[in-house]
Amino acid sequence: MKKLKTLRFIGLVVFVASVFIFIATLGIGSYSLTENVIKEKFSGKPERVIATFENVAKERKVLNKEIENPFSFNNEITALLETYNTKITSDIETEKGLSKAEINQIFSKSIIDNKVNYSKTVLESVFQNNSDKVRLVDEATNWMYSSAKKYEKVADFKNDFNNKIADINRNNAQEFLLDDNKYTKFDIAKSSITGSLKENKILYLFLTFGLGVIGSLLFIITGLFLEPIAGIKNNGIYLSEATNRGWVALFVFVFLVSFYILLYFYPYYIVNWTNIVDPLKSLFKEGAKASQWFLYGVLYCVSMLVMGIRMFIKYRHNSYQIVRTASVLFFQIIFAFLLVEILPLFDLPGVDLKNAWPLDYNFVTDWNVKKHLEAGHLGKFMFVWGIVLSLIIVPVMVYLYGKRWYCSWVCGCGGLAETLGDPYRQLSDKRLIAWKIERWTIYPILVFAIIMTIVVGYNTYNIVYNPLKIGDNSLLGINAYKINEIYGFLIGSIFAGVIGTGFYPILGNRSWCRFGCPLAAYMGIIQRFKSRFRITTNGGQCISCGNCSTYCEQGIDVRAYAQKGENIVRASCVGCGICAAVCPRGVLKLENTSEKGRINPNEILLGNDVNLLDLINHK
Amino acid sequence: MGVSPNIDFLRDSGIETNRGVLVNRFLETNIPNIYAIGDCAEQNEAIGYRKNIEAVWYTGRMMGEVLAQTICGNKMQYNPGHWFNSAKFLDIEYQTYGWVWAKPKDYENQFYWEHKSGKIAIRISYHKRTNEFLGINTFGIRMRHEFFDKVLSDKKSVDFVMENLKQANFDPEFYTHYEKEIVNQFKKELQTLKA
Repeated sequence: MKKLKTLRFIGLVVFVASVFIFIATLGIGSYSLTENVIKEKFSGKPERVIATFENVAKERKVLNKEIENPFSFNNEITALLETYNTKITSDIETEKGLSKAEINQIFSKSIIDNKVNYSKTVLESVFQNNSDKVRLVDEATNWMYSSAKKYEKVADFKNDFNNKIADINRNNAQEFLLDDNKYTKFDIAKSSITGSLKENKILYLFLTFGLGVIGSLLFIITGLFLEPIAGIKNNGIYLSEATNRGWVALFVFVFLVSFYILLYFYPYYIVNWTNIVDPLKSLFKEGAKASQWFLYGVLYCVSMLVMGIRMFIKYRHNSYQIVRTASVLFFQIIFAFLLVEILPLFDLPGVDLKNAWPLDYNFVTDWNVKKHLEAGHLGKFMFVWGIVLSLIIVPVMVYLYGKRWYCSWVCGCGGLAETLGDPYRQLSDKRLIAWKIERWTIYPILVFAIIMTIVVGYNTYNIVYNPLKIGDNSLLGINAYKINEIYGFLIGSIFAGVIGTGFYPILGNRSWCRFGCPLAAYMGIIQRFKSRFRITTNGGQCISCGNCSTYCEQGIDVRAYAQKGENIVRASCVGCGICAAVCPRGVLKLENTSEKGRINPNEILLGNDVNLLDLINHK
Repeated sequence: MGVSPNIDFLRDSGIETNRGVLVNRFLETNIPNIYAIGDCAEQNEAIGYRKNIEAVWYTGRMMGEVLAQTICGNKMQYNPGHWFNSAKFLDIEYQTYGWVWAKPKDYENQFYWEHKSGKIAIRISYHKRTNEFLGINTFGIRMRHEFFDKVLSDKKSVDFVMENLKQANFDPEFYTHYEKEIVNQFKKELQTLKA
C-alpha cells in the first residue's frame, strides 16, 4: 500500500516535471534569419522575392543576426515583412506601373481649361515608345473616355484614374507580395530557430511527451491497485484542489487558455513545441515539419489516450462506458488525426471525415470546396460525403439513437470532454437560469452559422461556376470573407477552443457543447421532438440521492425526472450515460424504443397501490 | 439488528406509542390532526407480510405521498403495493421485488444462480405447487420495477418470468446478459427436482 502510494506520488512528480520542461522549451535557443532560411521559406516564389527580401533584411540589420528574445525577433520579422512589401510595391510600380510623375503628366495633358479630355492619344504621347504600357493603361481606363462616360468634375476623373492605377500597381506586385500573417511569421520563426532543442528533438520529445505519459500513467494505474474493487469512486471530488476550482484547477485553466491563445493567434511563439513533434510528423512523410495544428493533434490524441485509459480503469465495471470511450478514441485517432495526415499523401484533402457541418463551419468556403473538387473522383466523393453526413446521416441517426451517437461516441470535442474532462463533470451549472441561458446562446449561434453558410456558400458557388465574374464577394451587403472570419474568430476559436476547452476546470467539460455548438443545437431539436431515444427511469426505485444531477455534464437536473418516474427527454442530453453509471440503485437506463409515450410528464411513481382513475377524478 | 424509532421525546405527549408512534391505515395517531410517517410510524396492524414498522426509504416516500393527499383534502389510505426495496454494499447493487424469505416458507421453493465472479447473483422465490412467481432478489443485475410489479399483480408463473427474463433486464447497453445461463441452470434444477 505504502509502495503504491509512493509510486503514485512519483508518477505525479514526473508528470508535473514534464509539464514544466514543456513550458521551458519555449525559451530554448535563439533565432537567426539566415540566407538559407529565406531561400527555404520562399523557395516557391520568384527569385526576385528572395533577393529583395535578403536586401531589406540586410538593410534592417536583421540578416544573420542572432536574436535570443522571441518577442524582439518576431517584432523584427513583422517590421521586415511590412518594409519588404512597401519596397517591392514601389519597385514594381517604377518598372511596370505608373509613377506619380507619370500620372501627373497624364493629368496635365488630359485636363485643359478645367475640362476633362482624356483619350488614348494622351497615353501615347506620355509613353511614346512604350506600347506595352500604353496598352496596359488603356485596357484599364478606356471606359473613362468612352461615349457613355462624361466627366463633369475634374476631381471625379482624377479619383477614378488614381484608383485604377492603384489596382494596376497592386496586381503587378501581387506575385511578389508576401502575406504578413501569422502563418508566414510562424514558418519564418520555425526555420530561424536554432539551439539544443532543434538538434535533439527526440530527446525533448521524450522529456516532454514521454515523461508526461509515463508519469500520468503511473499515477493513474497505481490508482487502480489502490481501489481494487470495481465501482465509481468520486470520493473527495468536492474537496480536491484539482476538481473543485482550487489552485490546481486554476493552474490547469491558465495553462489551457494560454495554450489556445498561443495556438490560434500567436503560433510563432511556440515553434519549439512544434519542433518537439517533428520526429512524429516525419513518420508520415520524411523530412516533413510539424505545424501548430499537428502539434495540437498530437497533444489532443495523447491527452485523450491517457485520460481514456483512466476512464477504462475508473468505469471498468460499466460496459457502456468502456465501449463508448473506445469509440471516441477510435474516431479521434483514426479520423481526426491519422487520416488527416495520410490522405494528403494520396493527393486527397486532409480533412476530418467525421466533422459535420455546422460544426465544420468552413465546409462551404471556396478554398475548401475547390480543394475537394480538384482532387479527382475521390475528392468529389468526400465533398458529397460531407453534405450527406450533415443532411441525411445526422438526422436519421439522431432519430434512431438520439444525438449521443455523435456527441458522445464520435465527436472530437466530445471525445476530449469525456476523457480529459471526466474530472470536471460536476462543475456544470445545474440551475434553471443556466438552462434558460443555454437556449438563448445555442440557437442564435445556429442561426448565425446558417446565415454565414448561405453567404459564404453563395460566394463559393460564384467562384466555382462564374470565375470570371468580378463581384464583391457579398450577398445582401454581407461580405463572405468577413462574416466567415468573424464567425471563425468568435465561435470557432474563442468559444469552441479557448472557452470550450480552456474553461474545463471552471465551467465543466461541456460548456461549448451546451452553450455554443450549432450541431448540438440542430441535433437537439431533432432529439427533443422526433427521436426514439430517452433515459428511462426504473419505476419507484429512485432514492433522490442526486448523484445523477451532480455528474450530469450538461447541467440537466436528472434527479427531478427520476424522482417523478418521468423519462428524460432533453435537447441538451448527450447520452454520456454517466448519470446511469453513478446511480446507486440502477434507476436510469439509456434506451431507444417506441416513440409512443416517450414524453410522460404525468407519471405516477410506482409504490402505492393507487387507483389511477380515482386519483385523477379526485383532482 | 436494524433501526429502532427514537421517540423518547413523545413520552408524555399523550400520543399513543409502542416501539414506534401508533398509526392506522390513514397514518392518523390517536390525536386528531397529528400523523406519523416513515421510520417512526408503527401500524396498529401490520399490512400483509410487511413489518409494523417500515424503516425503508420507499415506504417513507409512499406514506408521505398518501398523507400529502389527505392533508390537501383528498383523504387517502396508505395502501402499499407489491413489496420492493434496494441497497448497495461493497459496490454490489441489490434490488428485491416481491417476497423472498431468508427462511423459505413451507410453500416456497427458491432458485439461486451466481456468476463465477461472485459479484452477480439472483434468487427467485416461487410457489411449490402452483409455480406462481413470488419474489426475486437480484445482485449486480439491474431489473425493471414495472416488469416485476406487473408479474406480481398478474400472478404470473416462475416459468413466465424465466421466459421473459430478458425483458426484465435494466442494465445499460453492452452489458453481458446472463439470461441463457440462468434459465439453463433453472431448467436443469427443475429436472432434478422432478426426478
